[in-house]
Amino acid sequence: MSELLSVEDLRTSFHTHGGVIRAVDGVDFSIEKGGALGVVGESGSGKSVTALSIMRLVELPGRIERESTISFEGRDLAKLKEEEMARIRGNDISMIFQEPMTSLNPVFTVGDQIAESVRLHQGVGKKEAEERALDMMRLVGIPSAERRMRDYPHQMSGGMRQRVMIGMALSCNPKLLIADEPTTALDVTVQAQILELMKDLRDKLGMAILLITHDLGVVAEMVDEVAVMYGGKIVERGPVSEIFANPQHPYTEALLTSIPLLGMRYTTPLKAIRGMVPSPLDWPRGCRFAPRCDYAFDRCTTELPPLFEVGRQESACWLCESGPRAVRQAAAT
Amino acid sequence: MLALRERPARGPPGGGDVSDLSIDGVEVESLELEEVAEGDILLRTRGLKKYFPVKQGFLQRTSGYLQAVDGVDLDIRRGETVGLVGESGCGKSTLGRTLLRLLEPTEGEITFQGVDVVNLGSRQLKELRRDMQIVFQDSVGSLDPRMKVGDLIAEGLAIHGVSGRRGRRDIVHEMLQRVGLPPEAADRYPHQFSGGQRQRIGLARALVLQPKLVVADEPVSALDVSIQSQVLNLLVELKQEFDLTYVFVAHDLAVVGYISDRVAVMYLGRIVEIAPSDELFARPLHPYTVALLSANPEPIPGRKSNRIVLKGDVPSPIDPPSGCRFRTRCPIAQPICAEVDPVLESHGRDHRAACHFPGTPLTGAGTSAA
Repeated sequence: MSELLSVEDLRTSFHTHGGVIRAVDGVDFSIEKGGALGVVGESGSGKSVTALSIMRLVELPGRIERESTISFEGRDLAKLKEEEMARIRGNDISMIFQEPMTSLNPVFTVGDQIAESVRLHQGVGKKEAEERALDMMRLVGIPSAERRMRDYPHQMSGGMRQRVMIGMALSCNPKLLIADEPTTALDVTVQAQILELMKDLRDKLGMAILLITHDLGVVAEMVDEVAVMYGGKIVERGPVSEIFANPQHPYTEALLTSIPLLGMRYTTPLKAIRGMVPSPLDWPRGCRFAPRCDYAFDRCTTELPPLFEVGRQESACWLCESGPRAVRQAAAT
Repeated sequence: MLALRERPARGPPGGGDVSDLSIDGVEVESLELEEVAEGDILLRTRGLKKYFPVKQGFLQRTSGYLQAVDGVDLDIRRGETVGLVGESGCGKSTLGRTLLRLLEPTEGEITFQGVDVVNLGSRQLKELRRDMQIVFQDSVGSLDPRMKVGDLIAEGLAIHGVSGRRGRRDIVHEMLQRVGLPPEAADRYPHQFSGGQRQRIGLARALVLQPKLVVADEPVSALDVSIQSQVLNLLVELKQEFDLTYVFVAHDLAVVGYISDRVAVMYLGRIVEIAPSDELFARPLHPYTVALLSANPEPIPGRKSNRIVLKGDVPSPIDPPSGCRFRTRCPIAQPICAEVDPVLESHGRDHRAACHFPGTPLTGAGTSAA
């Protein structure tokens, strides 16, 4: 398979009165045609800003720094003129957001909104756009689609609205779908429906997916490759099965052991991560996770570790410099 | 800790008598399974309902009722944690608030340590509130931004006239330390703290009066994963230290199961299944519980097989389906389910479920298994 998107040294900063917030601070990854990559992280890790940067939707005072390249089918999106980018947005790359209520216009019917995006992007007539909108509503599994075309967003449930958003995003056959926390606002049983739908559509339409989420469970279900972000950087990446079974970065390990799994009881305390995420105004020198890390030693607080190859994984931890880290040997605290 | 432990001795508010309580049929059944003495029940509800009027039109006429909680019988035993779990609109938060009479019940009984809570006058209710506290999900909305943290925590003490100003300050400092915050926090404002720290402040505020029952309404849902576990661990520690009984309301099944001794699964205003945590996960009987368990995404690659995906959305609580409320989404529904409302029946091991066909396997019964 060939490469669809390749992000190199992506840096997105917000220049505020309080100083420069380096939200995304040197991120590299790539997605193949029809591939799927999950980006996980907590709030402030830079995962959403990464997604917005690819769409070129970062608003002032934020800006993508000059050294960044976002190469999409051979073109560098970071350097494109806004008009050219507007042609890519919605056509080749689409995005869905966490809260479909705020992304849909409350004064137009959902059918009109899907049809509008088809008309804008594909230059077809009104009649054809409406037919295409109806097809999309059926594709995303909205029951009695003809009738629901005439519904306004507020008349639909959260799950149905997210289906509409997905339908709209896919109406122009994008090559890449960026999904930023697509199921976070939904109930579990509805989340299960939407995840099934997205997997199904990916198989049917062959688009690539960049899934941004804080939920490790959603990652395990949806994608095969994952990048874990912390403090504006990727700290670990590789195949989901290997990373979840044998996390090489202490942050990944801590994340996985800090959440209760079904059937775990309070008699065994959770392995909490102490402290909190550092401020992006002033990242710690050295490894950004070092102040919260159980394994940290002198070098961690002075030198920023690069990503080291460990089998099929990569981990930005000094303990992985010469091969796999002996997991849990130093977990004293 | 001494300063906190001391509280003036007083009788039960309202002077209620435990022996007044009658034992109804349901209770006798569960007594067979596990000896639950009357005195071990801290809070009990019978037929508890909370309806909200739905108003329409210019004159705001009441056009119907949203049946948020519709007939809940629940016994909360002293020292246990009962989890209320369900999706949005199932009534779990409303139930949590109605238990404390933060919302007035529409119908039904609530007794707390044998005292009838529903008919208490405002003075007696105020006394009772010392024993019943709540922690909210939204720590921004529930902490007054113009009050210093110390005053926020001391507010309850002041209202109930516990010790003088100086004594209260000592108690506040001790409480802050107990929830893992430095004493200096007392002189700062809520916005100066992170979400996890604000949740600790909310806990300190709830526990400072030494309550017996704490309702925790989605206390960790708004927190990041790494902070969630800190707060969950703290909740467990505090429960032991302060001899608390928790009602833990949340939508996350793994979190609820982790912290609770017993879990009640709610759907459209009703408890559809209640059982000890491990029993519920090992042997779910209600099809809704089975579906919830299977929909829960877990960070274990390859666990995705045999998922049961429910069709459709939760119906409106303004006009719930006839008979069993889950039948419109239930993969094993039969004609009887539309006609007869199933009652919460005992199935041994402290386990009750409201289903005509409890324990029927769902796979291959019209579900879409991925």
